[in-house]
Amino acid sequence: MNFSNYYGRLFDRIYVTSDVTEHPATIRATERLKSLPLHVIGTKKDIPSEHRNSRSLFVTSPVGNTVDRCPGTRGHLCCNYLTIDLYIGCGIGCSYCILQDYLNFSPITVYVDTRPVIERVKRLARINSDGVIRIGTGEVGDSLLYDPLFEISGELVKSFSGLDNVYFELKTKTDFVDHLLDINNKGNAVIGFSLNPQGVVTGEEGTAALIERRLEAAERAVEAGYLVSFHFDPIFRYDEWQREYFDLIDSIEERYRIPQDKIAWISMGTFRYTPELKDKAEERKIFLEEFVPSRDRKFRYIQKVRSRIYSSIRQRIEEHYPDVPIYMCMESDTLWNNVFGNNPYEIPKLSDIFKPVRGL
Amino acid sequence: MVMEAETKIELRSVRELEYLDRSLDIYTHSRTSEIHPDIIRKRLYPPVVVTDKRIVWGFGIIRSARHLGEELLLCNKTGEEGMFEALKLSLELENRPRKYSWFEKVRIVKLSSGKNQLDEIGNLVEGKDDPEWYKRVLLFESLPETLQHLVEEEKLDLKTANDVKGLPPGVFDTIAEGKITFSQRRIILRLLKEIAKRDELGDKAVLETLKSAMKHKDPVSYVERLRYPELTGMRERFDSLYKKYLSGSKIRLYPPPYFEGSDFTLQFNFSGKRNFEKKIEYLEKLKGVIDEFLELLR
Repeated sequence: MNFSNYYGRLFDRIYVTSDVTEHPATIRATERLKSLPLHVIGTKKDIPSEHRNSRSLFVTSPVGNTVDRCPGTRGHLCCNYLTIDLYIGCGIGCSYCILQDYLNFSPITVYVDTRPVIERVKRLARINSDGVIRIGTGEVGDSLLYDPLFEISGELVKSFSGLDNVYFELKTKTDFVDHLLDINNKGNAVIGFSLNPQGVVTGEEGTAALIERRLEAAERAVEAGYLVSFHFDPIFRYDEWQREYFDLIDSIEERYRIPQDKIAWISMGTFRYTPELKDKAEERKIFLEEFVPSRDRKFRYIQKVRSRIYSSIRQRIEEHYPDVPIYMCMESDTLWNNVFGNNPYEIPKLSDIFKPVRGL
Repeated sequence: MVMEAETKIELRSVRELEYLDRSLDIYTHSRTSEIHPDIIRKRLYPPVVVTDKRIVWGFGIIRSARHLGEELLLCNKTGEEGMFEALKLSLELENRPRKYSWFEKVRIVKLSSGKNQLDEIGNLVEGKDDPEWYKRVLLFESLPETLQHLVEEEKLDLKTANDVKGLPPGVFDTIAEGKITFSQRRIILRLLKEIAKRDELGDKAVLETLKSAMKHKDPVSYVERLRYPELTGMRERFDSLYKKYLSGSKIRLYPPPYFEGSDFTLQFNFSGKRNFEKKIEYLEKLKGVIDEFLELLR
């Protein structure tokens, strides 16, 4: 990969706090981006306001909770996923991205010091030795977009590889997996790919990788010994939605060597947005379907429509992968009953992964 | 050292002043309330600000003077460079903050140069320190003329006007003519904009849609149905089920808001055993068909 070509186009400058200048990941990244101006600063406050945007790369050490519960939302069932803040912010530029609303006026932030995270996860693994912990770095940024530059995720994969009950997931819209393939001990590491029909990718997902490239990357990850996951999230409804999503689902099994037992889970989530995001992107047609406000203030497709979408996608996936756990992200118990006939805690394939984690 | 611009107070004929009013501001864009005749006759008004080339401020005074048949008006003649100071003085003497029309505000902004001057007179125009006031005026100025008039006449708010300004101009004439409320006008225009975008309607089709809506007995419902066909259909389905099974029962049944959730709410009052039994009979009947209602949430 030509780092300065690719990442040099994404950033105009780098800010590094003085406590991490000597960290190997910082050195790797700054060496690879030699052409960009580098500023060593005390704290984030030292970044001038005109540089607090996604054209600035900010490298620092984490503050506060390094591992937390996925926030979930009011009135919706949470899958008890844990999140690690590693890469915060994303330059892919999806039109629907909720981060545009949450992380406006922030530089792309990278927490290079992973020691506190590793310690915390090891402790949680011990406390929850009777259950499964699912944890990932893709909540507030793409897990792999900037990873070839810093190579931090590989350290986490290696560190968690001995923890049998920990499923560490790297969620991405890129195909940047090659720097992770040669790691010997991968444990239960999962590389998760966000999937949408290519038309949606082209229209709404900024500079994300072509869907074909993501699935080829999934194939390489499986070949190298990783588990993979797929996230049909956000699912959009448009004239040809069903045919296009079905074609995409069919293509995974038909065109790529990804056996069922290598798929850790598949999630589904229909498109939802905050009122603030609509104000920013109202000219886009995807916001002009019929949406109604939900209990968490977000707008979603009408419940009956969502039920229909989830049921048909779930059925199509199960035709190919009957044993893979499938779940919905941020949906109400009514939806769970409509689509699965039960809540996830009562569904044997899902009860383990929905079990709350203790010790946080 | 501050240079004070030279000004001269003098009497000038109304006819001469009208000659300077090239953009017809005296009779079109001013919304000043009537000035008491004595104020004009006894010359108690702030002098009309003029330069050699134009009237700067005082259009309402000229209009009133003409109406009263007064021939001469007190004027403050200034050079172009002293215009802002004279304007500011006029605004101070007028002392009518929050009462300037949008068109007057456009003129005030045009006569001021730079943020400092605009900040300096913000309080005189809006009655409070509001650093954003002139941005709203500039937004107003950017609107198509028909929309400007809707805003000026308080038939539409500035934010909605700005949101819908991309609609074809004929739309604004049509909506202005309709006998609908302020709130209905806002809803119709916003929904129409979304329908036009979603369905990729051309100008003609947008206008036809609006005309059809305005002919309908409930224009808002007409447009809502086009924008939210499924949701409207569900509401109608619920209403028809209610009518079919509970009409005349005085039992109230409510679906969850927007059919989002799992709980219907049932309410009734009763007085006496017979009346209670009657309600239960209705509910018994409802039990057999309740799936038809529940289907709306599945």
